[in-house]
Amino acid sequence: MDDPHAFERVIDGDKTLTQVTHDVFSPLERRGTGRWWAGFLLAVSALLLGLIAVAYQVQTGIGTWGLNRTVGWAFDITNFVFWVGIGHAGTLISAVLLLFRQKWRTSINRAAEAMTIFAVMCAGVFPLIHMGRPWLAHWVFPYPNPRGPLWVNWRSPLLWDVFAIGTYFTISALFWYVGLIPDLATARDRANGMRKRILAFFSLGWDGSARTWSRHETACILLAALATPLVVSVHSVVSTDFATAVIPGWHATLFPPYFVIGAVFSGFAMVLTLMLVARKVMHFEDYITQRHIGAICKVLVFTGTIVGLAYLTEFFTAWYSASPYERFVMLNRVIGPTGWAFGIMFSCNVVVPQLLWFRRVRNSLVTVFILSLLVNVGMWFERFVIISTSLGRGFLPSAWASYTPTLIEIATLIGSFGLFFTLFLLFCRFVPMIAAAEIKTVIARRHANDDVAPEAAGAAARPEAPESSETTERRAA
Amino acid sequence: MTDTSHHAADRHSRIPATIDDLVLPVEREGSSRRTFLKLAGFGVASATLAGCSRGVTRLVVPRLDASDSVTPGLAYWTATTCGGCEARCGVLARCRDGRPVKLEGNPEHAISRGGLCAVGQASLLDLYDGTRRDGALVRGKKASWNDADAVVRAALANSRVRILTRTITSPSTRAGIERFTKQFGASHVEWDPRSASAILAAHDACFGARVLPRMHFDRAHVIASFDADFLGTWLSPVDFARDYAAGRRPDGDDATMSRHVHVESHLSLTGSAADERLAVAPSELRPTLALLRKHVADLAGAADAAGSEPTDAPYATRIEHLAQELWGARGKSLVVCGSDNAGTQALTVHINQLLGNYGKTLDLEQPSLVRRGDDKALLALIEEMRNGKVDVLIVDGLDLVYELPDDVGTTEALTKVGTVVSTSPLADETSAVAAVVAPTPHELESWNDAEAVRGHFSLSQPTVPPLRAARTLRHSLAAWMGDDTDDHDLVQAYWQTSVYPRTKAKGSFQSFFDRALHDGYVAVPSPERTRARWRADGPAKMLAASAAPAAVADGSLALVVYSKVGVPEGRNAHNPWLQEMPDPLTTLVWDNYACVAPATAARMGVRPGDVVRIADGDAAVEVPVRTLPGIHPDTIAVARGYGVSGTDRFSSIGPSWLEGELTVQEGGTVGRRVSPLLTLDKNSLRTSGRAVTVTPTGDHEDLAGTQDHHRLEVPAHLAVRGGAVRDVALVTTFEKLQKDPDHAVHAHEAHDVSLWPTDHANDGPRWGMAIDLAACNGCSGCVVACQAENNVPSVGKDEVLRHREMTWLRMDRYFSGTGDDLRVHHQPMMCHHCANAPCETVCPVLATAHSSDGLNQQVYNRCVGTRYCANNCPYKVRRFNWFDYPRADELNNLALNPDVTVRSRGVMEKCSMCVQRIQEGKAEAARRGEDVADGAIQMACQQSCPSGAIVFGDLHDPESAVAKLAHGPRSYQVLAELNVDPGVTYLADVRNASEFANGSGTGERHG
Repeated sequence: MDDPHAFERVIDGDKTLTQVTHDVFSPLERRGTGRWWAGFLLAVSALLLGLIAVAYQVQTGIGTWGLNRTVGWAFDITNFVFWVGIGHAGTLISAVLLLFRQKWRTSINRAAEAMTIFAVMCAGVFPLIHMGRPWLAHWVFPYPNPRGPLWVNWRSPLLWDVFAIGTYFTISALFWYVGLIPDLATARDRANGMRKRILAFFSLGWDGSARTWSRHETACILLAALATPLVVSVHSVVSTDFATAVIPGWHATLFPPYFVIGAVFSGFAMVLTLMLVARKVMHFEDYITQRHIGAICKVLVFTGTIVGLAYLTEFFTAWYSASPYERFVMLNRVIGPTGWAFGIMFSCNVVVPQLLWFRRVRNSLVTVFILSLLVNVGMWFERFVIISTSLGRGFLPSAWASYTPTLIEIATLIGSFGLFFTLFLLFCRFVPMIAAAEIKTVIARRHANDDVAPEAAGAAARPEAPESSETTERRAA
Repeated sequence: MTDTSHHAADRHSRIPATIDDLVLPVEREGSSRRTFLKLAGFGVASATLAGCSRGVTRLVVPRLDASDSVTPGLAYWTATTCGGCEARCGVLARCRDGRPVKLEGNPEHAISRGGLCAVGQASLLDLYDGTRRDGALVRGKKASWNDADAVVRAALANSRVRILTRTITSPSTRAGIERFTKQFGASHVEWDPRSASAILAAHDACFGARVLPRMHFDRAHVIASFDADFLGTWLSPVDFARDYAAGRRPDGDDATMSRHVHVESHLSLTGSAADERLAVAPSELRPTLALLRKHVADLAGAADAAGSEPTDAPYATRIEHLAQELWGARGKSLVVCGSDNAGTQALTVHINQLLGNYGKTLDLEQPSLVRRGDDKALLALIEEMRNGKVDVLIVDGLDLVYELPDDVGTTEALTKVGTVVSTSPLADETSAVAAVVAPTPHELESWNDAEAVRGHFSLSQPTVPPLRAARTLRHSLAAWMGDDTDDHDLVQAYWQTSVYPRTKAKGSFQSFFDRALHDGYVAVPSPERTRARWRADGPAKMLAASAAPAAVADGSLALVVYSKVGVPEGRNAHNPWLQEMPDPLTTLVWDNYACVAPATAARMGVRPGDVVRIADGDAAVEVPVRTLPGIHPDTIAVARGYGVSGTDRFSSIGPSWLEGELTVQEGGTVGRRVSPLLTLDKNSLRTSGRAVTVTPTGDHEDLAGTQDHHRLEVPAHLAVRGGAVRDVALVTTFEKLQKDPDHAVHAHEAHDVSLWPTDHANDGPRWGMAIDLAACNGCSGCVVACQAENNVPSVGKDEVLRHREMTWLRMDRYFSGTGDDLRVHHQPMMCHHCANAPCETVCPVLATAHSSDGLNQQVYNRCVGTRYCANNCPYKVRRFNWFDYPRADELNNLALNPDVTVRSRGVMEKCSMCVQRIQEGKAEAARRGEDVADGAIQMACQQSCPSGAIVFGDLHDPESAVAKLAHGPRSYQVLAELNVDPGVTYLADVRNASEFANGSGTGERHG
């Protein structure tokens, strides 16, 4: 980052504004590719499997899960925390990096935000279906009612979750949508018939005037400012589900920062996974460049190391507490019956990301892709380890019990991935996946001879003389 | 107690006319409010009519008041007698709307004194068993009673008639049998599957009287038990447990604690309570007793009385020490033995005689009448049957085919009997070959009486109209004699002629009988005298007549067929509450299994759950293995009472879902029948000592238990410094407690400093419990009592395997120490009603909240089922309704307590501290304008406990019993260090053992 321009050159291929418009919008106007359809069918199948599992579970009872009197949460809340965590990278990229004027974010922020929203949707499913009586889920909202009125329990972290997740989803969705408007307008301008009318509705009468731009930018900055604290608050609140409990292994003040950094870590890993697939499938190699991937890798190695520190701090705290229960739980986590899960967690989250110190690793897309998957797996296991091993062997040895997932739970987990990818693939097909308007502002600024303010989206950009690739390389270095 | 004279005026029964009135015929579909009210009105109206349809119901005298009709919604109590086993404890049936919904011990019954065991508690459910026979059968086909009686009467004419029963504890039935045998020249054979034949034989030989002395454990300062599980399954456990607890009161100025040494092969409930426990092989039991006799005889200066019986026993020094202890407490000691070997029993008798215990701790004058069965007589009968010398055999209360080993050829012998008459209320293997079945009713729907200890009478009266057409044996015998007196009159006539004249009651017979019915119990001096005279040559003769069990050869193990506390016998196998009651020693449910020592299992190369074939010759049983510390390494123990045909009725007891497994396969049985391995030798039915070979079959079966970890110590490789042992079940010694009561128990203290104001400050009562672990022996009567009181569903084996048992009160069992220093801890564990309850803060919808009187309440209606409360419960006592548990059996549903909500799927539940009882007690006190008196409210668990281990009351009242206990020297709270301020206090277990006997681990065996 020594070269202030290194990241300003956000995209490769030295695109003209027209080319950007074409690259981003034409896939939306064509029929889906075979690869897209294959992916979509797979995702929808997974979603259907999950739906069947959930329908069966709601019909029959939570007993269709492998939970027991001792382990009251396992896959359900693991999945919940996992998906909430995934969302964090989107907010971080779109809001925090926007506030910090990190222009390199522009080509991935749209997709990352979409990922956030979809991940939060996936996450939101679990608190709902994990209830014994999900049809009464509305009772967790404080609304005037004829039962007294009987309010909710403001002391319960689960209630805090309701607000944290609710706020998070609302802000993220708004932010995403507001950022989408100029691009929706572009799509509208290129469309006909019904499609045009729908897009016209959603682009809210965008006319590309300076006033619309000005208000758009203000709204974006405001929402970014609103969303930024959420990066910290949401997972802090989620962590209090555990931290405020008396259960050894949960009862730790470390949890809020530990969970937030874990969330950012897992979120970036998921961004990486998705971007690597998207650039290949959607042919966005010029937009999602090696530089983007390198930057994400650096974030990963940074956050992964902090996560490792958090793990060690947990052990230290357990030892320092002198509580035999805390000490036991930590030891049990490592060499107890589910020590293998800890092994997966530790190696995937702490050991594996250290490979990213090496440029050669970062430059190998295949390696990076595998690494990102491993981090995803590791972070899922982190939550599983925290939840199930702590619950399984608590204070009274008589109540110790282990947990084994049922087919229904596995199907539900698969279904949540199905939901995520179904939504994401629909997003790829129907919404401009790259923030074209923002890319254009970056391109426009970079071309000295192009001294006009960023153009209205949809307006034809003049073709530019391609810069030599050697110059690009030099500047990148 | 109210005056009973009004009973004469009030002849109306509380019993509804028929059971149909109990099950309101509310139409399933299209039922309107109007039809419901109409039917409900009809139900209540007909409930007020005195019994007229099924004859049996006559005057019933309710216990407390005498309103002339059932008041819907108000409970009343009827004193009656438990039919669960021959101990015949007094019970009060709590009835609602004309049916019993809960059994409680009758505190005025002089033998059981208010306690009730798990089997007794669960016997309520047997009443509502829909598979009970309805009416008589002739050759397997339904027949009228007249037709059935005609068949029997025809067969009885000019034939050799035999009546085979268990021990008859009902004097009126006994009188009926005597009348019957006289009329038909028949003979009556009594036999018990859990026989005390050897004890009776030994007393016969040594005293010339075939009696079972009544044992007084409260009077014994030193108790030596040889394989007698007197707290769990032996003879009269409630009586014994009450006495035992009375002799062990370790607190206060008048502290006294008996010393209990237990010698056994298997690990029994009683063994787990003992101060010192020695494991011997079954064949070593007799030499051990012989050695004890030798030492006692030496001390008594009667060395020559010891005879020549081999005394080559293990634990020589400990036995010598025991002899000294016994001798030191002569006349105040007690040696009991559960062996089926008459010689071994003769040694026991001799030792007690040498110690002068007869007439003191052993009562021959008022002997126990719970076992009169004679193995020899049964053998003779079977021989007769086999030779075709029996024309009519009436079998009552016994499934002979099931109980006896196959090589006896019971079925074949039965086929040689002209007419087999069975009285079995359930389809069993013996009644399957019977020509006539005249089923008997449940105790709670019939008239009956009992005399379990001579001179102590109790009465049974119907608490519900007969749910099934059935007749007692007494009634059937009368019918077959051509006597059409009904059953009530038969009982009453016996009492009029045989009991009433013996009393010094002033009033009329009727007022005496009414009073007896009202109280359920009456002591009547007995004219009978035991003609017992010590015969010095008795023991030697008996020893000579009874062969000593041989030690098993290398490579084989000695089999012990034992009884489980929950399912002691095959007759209990049809009860789901008992089947699902975790065994207090293994915590397993719904199965029997082969218990072996861990070292033995390792030697055989089997792991828990591996199926082994236990065989001796052709006789073989295949059961899964369970390792159990404390059991003698050369022993393999399998519980009887399993493999009962018809138990596949439980195949669908639990929820059915995708991965759910059946509790038992269709056509299969719960557990395996172990009778093939019993040995019927010429004198007795041997249950222990048979040499068997044990070979793994390669199969594996999961055993469902409620505990995965069995020790107070955490696994060794996870033991952090200072955290190797979870000090949740504390134990101290009597000696320490005597020396320094304030420092005998080392418990965690709560941190008094808190950042927060008291969450639930209240000036009123705070309900709480104190549980004395020294008194608790783990019998689990409370567990079933709680299940009955609080409508806790039985969920089946698979759900327990998944750790989803629903019991609100669980009996935690921990082991500590090893080998001869093994210690077993039982700890009842239920919701602690914490003042700073972790569950309450985390529920998002306030479904669990604190009451103004200190209860942690679960509001089922409000619960959305996040399970966060259960996760955050340090005691893990919350139970979640994973499914809608099957409640389709409407007859069974009559056992539900109407005062307690049946929970639906998806909600959390847990011990409510019997809030319905608290409310009832408060309402009652308010009605009288008083405060709730200490002790006026009793928890279901507390009421049932024969040892009085549980005390409930107001912790804020410094004068209450519970508050005093909670501040006593032994009190501690489990996990007090979490500052949850629990409402349940434990009193540390106390063992009367010196450090030498239990702490040193000298490893002495064959010393």
